[in-house]
Amino acid sequence: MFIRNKRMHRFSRRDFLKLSTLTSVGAVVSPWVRNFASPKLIERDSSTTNIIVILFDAMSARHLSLYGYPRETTPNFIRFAQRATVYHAHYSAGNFTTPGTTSLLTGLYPWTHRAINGHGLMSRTLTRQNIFWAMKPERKRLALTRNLWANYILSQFRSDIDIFLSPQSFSSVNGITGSWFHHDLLAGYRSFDDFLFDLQQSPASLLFGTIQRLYFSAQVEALQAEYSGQYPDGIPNVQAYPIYFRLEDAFDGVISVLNQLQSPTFAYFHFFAPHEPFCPTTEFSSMFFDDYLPPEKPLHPLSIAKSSQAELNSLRREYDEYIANVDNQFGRLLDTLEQSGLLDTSIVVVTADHGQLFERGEKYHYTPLMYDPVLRIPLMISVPGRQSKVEIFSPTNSIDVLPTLMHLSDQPIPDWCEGALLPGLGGQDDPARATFSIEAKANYASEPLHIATIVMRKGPYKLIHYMGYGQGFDDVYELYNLEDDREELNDLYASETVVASQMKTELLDALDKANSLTQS
Amino acid sequence: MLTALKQRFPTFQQILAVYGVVALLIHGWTLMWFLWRLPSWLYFLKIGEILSVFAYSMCVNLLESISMMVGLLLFSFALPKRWFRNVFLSHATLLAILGLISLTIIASHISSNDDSYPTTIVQLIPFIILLVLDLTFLIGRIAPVRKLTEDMADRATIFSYIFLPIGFLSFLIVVIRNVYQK
Repeated sequence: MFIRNKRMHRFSRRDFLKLSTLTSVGAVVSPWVRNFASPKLIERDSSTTNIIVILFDAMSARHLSLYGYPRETTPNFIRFAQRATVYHAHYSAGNFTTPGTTSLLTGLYPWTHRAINGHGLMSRTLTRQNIFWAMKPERKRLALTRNLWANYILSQFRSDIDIFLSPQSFSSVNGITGSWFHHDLLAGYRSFDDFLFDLQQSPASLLFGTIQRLYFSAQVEALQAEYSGQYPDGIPNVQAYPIYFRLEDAFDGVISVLNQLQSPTFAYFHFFAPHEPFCPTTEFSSMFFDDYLPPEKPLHPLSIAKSSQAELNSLRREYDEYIANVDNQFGRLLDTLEQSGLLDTSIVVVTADHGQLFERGEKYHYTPLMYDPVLRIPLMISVPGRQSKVEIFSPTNSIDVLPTLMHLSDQPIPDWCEGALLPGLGGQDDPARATFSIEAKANYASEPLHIATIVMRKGPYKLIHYMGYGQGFDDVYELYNLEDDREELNDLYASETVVASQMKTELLDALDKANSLTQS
Repeated sequence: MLTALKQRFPTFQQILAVYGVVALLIHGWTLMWFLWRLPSWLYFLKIGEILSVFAYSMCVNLLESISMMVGLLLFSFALPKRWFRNVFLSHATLLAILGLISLTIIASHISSNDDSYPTTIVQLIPFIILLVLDLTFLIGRIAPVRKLTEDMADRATIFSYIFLPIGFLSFLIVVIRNVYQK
């Protein structure tokens, strides 16, 4: 006799949404779905490892307890770090998604790939210079990003990606239209989601755009009413784009894809969290109402937001709470990786595309400022067989990830790559090596850089060069010794003249070289 | 039967004139935003990529203006002839102008970054529709206004000849891009 479980609940709207999302993903990954249906058929090829890149958007290393932050934000990152190589001075090559993600995926600096503007694209002549192309002979390639700006870049690599999941995958409510145009994704996203049905400005489509916006708002309203108890600060969403998702659904979706992985695969998962808006669940919301106060820093003249210290402290707390929530979900993902054996047979990379800034009057990362919190990002790499933690303290850059992954998987490093092998994973610590981070969103992509902030890291020093901003910042330098001055409060440019002069010359040489390539 | 049906609809010339007004407003709104966005696109997009956005926009505008026109024709079909069909040029033009202007006001009010549901606007929509209908039929009775709108529609016919070919060409471009691109 069939006995109904007392706890069995009605098939709710949420169940339907989850099921329909998984169904659509299932259709995309159809060759794997057959194996997923009968788990016994899955046979992992142990001779060739998977490579799994997990990227968290806007996750600053300076806010992770893994790297010594006083708030306990990342216990699960620390758990993962016990069997990984952990990089303590890892820098993004850019201070927002477009350049940061592009540099990670191409091994090129922003002044080379030219994806330097918000909504921007990389140089059309370089689009085959990407990690998916490089992995081609060996592995199946899968990509998912919920960030539309990163999705523009991935769309440029479309022909090198075998399974390209749309940014609205595993979402609760979405109004994304561009992904309907499978054969013309870039124009589709640009025309609809950034223009005709734009959420930030008035929709450029008067009739359909207005109707779509009203309909979408109604859906969001219903969703928020349904989950207001679980998400007191609102449902996580992709800021300027019509995608709302529950954090656990986003992770469940990735877990379901990981459970279907067949070796050899290169998989890139780009989570939108902990990017603002910060929407932790009840369990994490308000968990950091504590005594912690970051050091107060003077207002920077180039600060755009010019926020008060009280506002910055409040935003910092909300950000930390959201990071703790993301870490908690990452713990579930880590459990899956461990239980499925994937962690033993895969190279797993955990990183970010850029950080966040809550100091000197500036908030978030829409800024010409390039202090450490917006540039320093986590990097942990776990390789099969490693059971202990290795810590690397020398400066590294996001452009180094691509060559290192190629090296770890015994594949040739492409000659166009500007990065170097990461120390501890094939590379050597080189105190003479300079790495760069570039912010130039006010510069035309096709022109030499003349409005930009360029950061050079070398040894313990960090040189910041502001150029072309006006307000007395047309040609300004700052120099910090990060070993002695982690908070970048003591500008040494005027006092350490020898170091300053050498680094300035090296930076300007590199800039001239990059600009001459653009001109040619 | 066909003749009876035909009598419910306005002439082709009248349809073309009113379509000109509808197309002018719908395309004008999109073109205004297109020109507003153009300087920022020039930072990172090639001319061909900007033209592709233009093609998608014009294609959507074509569908929007046709949808709007179909609505007006259904209105003409549904209402008694002397209410709408016999004064189609003036009343349909007034309805289109007032309706689309209301829509621009609604579109402008839902443009903020605030993702909360625009409850007030949605609650006002039935009243806005009633107001637009009332105004159309009230103002439409004033002879000088009727004459003015008829003249306006006559002169707007040219926009049908401009925007229809652009719309169909854009539609073709969008189809080709989606069928033949890798």
